[in-house]
Amino acid sequence: MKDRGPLKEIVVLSGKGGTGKTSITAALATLLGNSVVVDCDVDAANLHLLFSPEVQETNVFVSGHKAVIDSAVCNQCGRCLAHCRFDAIHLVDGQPVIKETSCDGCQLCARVCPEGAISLIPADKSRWYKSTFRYGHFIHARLQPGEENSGRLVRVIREAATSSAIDQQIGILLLDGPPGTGCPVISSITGANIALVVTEASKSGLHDLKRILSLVAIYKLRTFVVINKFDLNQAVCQEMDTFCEHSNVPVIGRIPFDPTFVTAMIHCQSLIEWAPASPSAHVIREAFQELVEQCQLNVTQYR
Amino acid sequence: MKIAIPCVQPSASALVDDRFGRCAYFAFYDEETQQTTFVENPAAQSNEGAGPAAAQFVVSQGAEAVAARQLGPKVTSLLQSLSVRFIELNEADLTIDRVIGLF
Amino acid sequence: MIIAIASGKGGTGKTLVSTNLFQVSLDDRVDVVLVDCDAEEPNDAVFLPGEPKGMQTVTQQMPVIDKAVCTYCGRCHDWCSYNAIFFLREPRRIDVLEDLCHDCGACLAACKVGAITEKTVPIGTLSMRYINKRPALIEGRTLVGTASPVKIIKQAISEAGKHDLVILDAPPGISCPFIATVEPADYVVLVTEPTPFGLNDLALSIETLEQMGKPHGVVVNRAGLGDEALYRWLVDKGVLQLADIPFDRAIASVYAEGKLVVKVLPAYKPVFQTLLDRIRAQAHPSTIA
Repeated sequence: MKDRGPLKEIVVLSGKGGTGKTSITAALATLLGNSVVVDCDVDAANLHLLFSPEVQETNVFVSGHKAVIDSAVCNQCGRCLAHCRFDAIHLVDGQPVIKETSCDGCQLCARVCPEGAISLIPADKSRWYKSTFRYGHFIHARLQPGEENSGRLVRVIREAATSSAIDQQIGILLLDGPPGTGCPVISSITGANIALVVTEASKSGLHDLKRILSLVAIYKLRTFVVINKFDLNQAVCQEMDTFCEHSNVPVIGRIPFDPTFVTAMIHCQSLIEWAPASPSAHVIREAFQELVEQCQLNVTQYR
Repeated sequence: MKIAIPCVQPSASALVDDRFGRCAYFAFYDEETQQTTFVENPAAQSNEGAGPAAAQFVVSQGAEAVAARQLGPKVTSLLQSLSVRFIELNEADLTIDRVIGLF
Repeated sequence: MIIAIASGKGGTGKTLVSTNLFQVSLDDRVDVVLVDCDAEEPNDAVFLPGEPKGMQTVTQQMPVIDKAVCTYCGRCHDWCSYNAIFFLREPRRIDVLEDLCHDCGACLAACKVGAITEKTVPIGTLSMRYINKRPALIEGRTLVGTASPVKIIKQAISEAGKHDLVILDAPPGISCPFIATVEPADYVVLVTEPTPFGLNDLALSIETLEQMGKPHGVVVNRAGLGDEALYRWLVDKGVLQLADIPFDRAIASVYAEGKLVVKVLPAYKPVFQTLLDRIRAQAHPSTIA
């Protein structure tokens, strides 16, 4: 039996998109060295752009089911139309047709059809991947447009990542979380030990920071905050500091508004790789050391 | 008493599955006959609500207790209301026969 | 005319474009209404004056099972695709698990003895803000714990009704809430930034819009920040570039304060004015002078 050891799972979150969450995850992955990295932002995955992972294994993800009507069998009675509450069935020249993007997969149309003309087919166009990259293992996914982002795909890739970590005897799992506070976010934090919340010093950033901190508090994660673009609005930044202090959440980094992140991105590198001596890299390195010390991470190799 | 235990494979040497709702199999151990049976979990592939569906399944199979690593809040309250005992397994990587040995 | 402002991921400037476009339309005396369809994280209201006046509740139907009438046949449970009906024949037990219910009506149709009725439960709100006594902003907002914002989005859009211009601030991503917002739109404006992340997300959004057959154009926000790859891609794909919003710390600062760029930095007003003109020309090609 393999020894699971103390697997530590760090999830990087942000209430809203565009705060720099993925860039900071990439920097942490670089500092960690050998780890398993998971891109849980399955709706708009970006981390792979920086790490150009080599796909080792492609897996199908069935996100749900969609109804289809066999027009050769259908007698146009309209019963399905009357029962559908998702406005997913429309008449095209008298023939009921399912609008795939509106269908919720409830199967009611198929059940009430007297001719048995309706069947449910799996929505199986989404994929998830086990890959390798320059710092270890990389688990990521691509959700098909319009398919439900139910959080289940996040759960699937998390489980794959956990078993990879156990197989490879890697002690740290780093997750790039989805934005927001919805179902996929909850799936990404369930089972994690440490949350790093990346926010930006703007009014909407503050609003979203409060929402995400109240969420992670429910799940009792060790939580830390990094304020990105802290110099954008000093008043908001101060308000964030005060709020975090009252919530007993340490702010372990204040990163300036820095276009170097974008330059690094263009060169498919993390900030630590592209500009290791930049002030932002320095802040991230210090924040990382704080994480390592406070959470007693067993880091074998970092720069 | 009949006890349901989530597991990853249908064998006594298999590990306990950390998940309840989406575990691959359930082991049903009957304390009186000391027999263990393994049944595939029909709720494992549910899009949503796998936990309650799995709870419903184990109770319909006659389980009066569930031994697992952890349960979600929905499953916990459902099992409580049905007077099904929850036996929390605090140790990681237990095998089914180790768990059965506890009774 | 209905215009949706969308982006593959959050933080690209979708709200910046929606609110400033709204303001220049208003200044232009256009009959315009803004609808915040990002019902999970609505924040257009931060940028516009006024307190919400009318507040409506968005509801869904939720089954109620009369246990005195129920014969415990299990048909409603079998018909439910969402595991939302907990059912045991022995010991007799039937319960609706409300947070799993999708309001599809299958259980109601399944029950042969009329034991199931429905009650109305709230899932979100619509609020209305007025400027000069005219409807200006409709905000859809989900209640915490609501599984899907789609119904709230649809209702917010229909509440807007007919106006010369309806601007929909779409939710990020490409899943169901995004589809529900762009579906009724005549034209979709995608906001992106000239970075590898921006291009990657834009390509996914455009793929989705092409499948739906929706006409669309692109606004490049933070122009000058990244590289040329996005522009080359737009030319190769033949996608119309509607406007460039320059990368300027001043814009980010004004936005961070919750203010409108066209009001605080009037130099940028022509950018949004031109954008408005081009969108109108695209959505109504016949009106090009």
